[in-house]
Amino acid sequence: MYEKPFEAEEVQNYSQKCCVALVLDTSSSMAGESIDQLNFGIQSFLKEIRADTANLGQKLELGIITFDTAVTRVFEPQLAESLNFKPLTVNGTTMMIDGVREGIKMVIQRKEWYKRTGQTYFRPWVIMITDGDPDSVQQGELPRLAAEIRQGMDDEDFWFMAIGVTGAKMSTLEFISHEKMEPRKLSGLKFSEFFRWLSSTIADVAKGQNVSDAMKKNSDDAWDGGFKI
Amino acid sequence: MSRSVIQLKVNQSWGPFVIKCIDCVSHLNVIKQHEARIAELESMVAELTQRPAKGGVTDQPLVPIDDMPPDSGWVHLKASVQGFRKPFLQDAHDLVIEGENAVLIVCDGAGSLKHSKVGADFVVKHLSSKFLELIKAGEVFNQESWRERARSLFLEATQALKAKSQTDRHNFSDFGCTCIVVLAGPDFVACAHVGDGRAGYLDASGHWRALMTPHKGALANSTVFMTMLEPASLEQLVRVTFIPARTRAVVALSDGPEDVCWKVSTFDPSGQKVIDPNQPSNEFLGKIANQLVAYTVKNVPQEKLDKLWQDFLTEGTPKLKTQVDDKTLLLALRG
Repeated sequence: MYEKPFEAEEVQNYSQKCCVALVLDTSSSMAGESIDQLNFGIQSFLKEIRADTANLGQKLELGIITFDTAVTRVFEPQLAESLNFKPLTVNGTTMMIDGVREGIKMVIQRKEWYKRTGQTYFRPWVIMITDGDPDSVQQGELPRLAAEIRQGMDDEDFWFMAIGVTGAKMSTLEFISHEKMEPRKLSGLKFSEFFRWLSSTIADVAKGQNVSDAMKKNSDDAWDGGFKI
Repeated sequence: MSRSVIQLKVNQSWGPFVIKCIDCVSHLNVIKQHEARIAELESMVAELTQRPAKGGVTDQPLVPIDDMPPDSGWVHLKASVQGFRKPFLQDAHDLVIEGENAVLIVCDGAGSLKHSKVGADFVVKHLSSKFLELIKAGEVFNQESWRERARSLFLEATQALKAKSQTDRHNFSDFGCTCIVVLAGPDFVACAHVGDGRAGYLDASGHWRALMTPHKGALANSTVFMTMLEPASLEQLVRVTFIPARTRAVVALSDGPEDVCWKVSTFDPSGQKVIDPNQPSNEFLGKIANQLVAYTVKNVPQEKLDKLWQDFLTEGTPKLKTQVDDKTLLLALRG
């Protein structure tokens, strides 16, 4: 005999937050097609988040930092669904070390705010995208940055992921990255494909899945170029 | 002419467009001027009032819990289903009825640990048989004896699990799981737990109340596990509750479905903070309990109920459908 399925309305709760700091290389070498594709990729990323049925737009807080000759906090962390993105422009050199440090500082500050306001949160992400190598004046700082990233990953303070675009010195990215999250090389200028992967991976993490399972589950074939040192 | 307060829906939001008329000429003129529009809006309000909320319960037969046949004893719903696109289930549960007693046990194996499902299954089986033994032996529970018994049985389960891990030559901490035990007896309801998840009971006034406060860290999903229990940490890690009153319904769940049936986070404007009110939803649990009563009155077999419940936990609401965490929810009620 047919019995009706159980039915009940869901409770509305405040969403747990997941903060992502995008640390983006806007040095002169990114001019042209690279920056256009990066801008397009971020816009597609925001569009996907807003369309996410599992309400990712209410969970994901996105901050954007650019680094060239200077480091700029273009957007402070805010709900991705309300972020009014304006295309980035390029200029000058590659102050990568300062950019990454600013990204780490941004997510740590956001975590403190979550704690102060009683909000539970998922481990934040710092995602750096570059097509180069740090300015020569910054090269001496690389070991210290690598140690800071190692410490932060070991203490479960944040995830750090480095993405290299054509021209990036992958050995540098390998040097600063933790073995739990190795650097990845973007195939061509497939920023949109990368951000699509990031959106579904973070959606799974924000629903409670652990990061390594979420990364494995979402295929990166569409954007991962692979690399060898 | 006198009219009651009418709220008009303007631009998709309600009020504060309110007309109050106390037989004065100016108001009568306003009403006359907009009579057709007011009539149109009133009919829309009437239609909306009759229409069920979007995504809500439609024509589900609801039978109040008071209509539960008094001789039916405990009836229940139980299921554990794996999270969305998760390769395998890491929750475990048992629900045992013994005379006037109902025992609900929920264990949630830690997602990142290799043998957490084995740990969850082991702890459920161990504690289920131990609590059943106590009930069968006629143990009388009170605040004191519950605290001592529950803590010693939890420690015993951990030690037995540790022995098993050594025999199997596995790392003990890989067996990490949370555990909730709810025991509803003839004249009391008690709870003991390690870790997160939720448990509650129906009080004499017909409201659902929380039976436990989960262990939660600031980081989402961080909690404590059975494998962390040591004699010295028992008091801190095994939290116990004893309510010396008869209850008609109890519920226990892993953290997977808590967002759906429990108020777990809300903004507190006075403290400018997000807080966990830890409040079971009377609407949600009440509706489910009433549907269970309706099925009991119709003598729907337990296997059928469990299947319906499993289907509900799998995709009964939008959040349940996309929840990647495993979902266990046990509910028992009596006449």
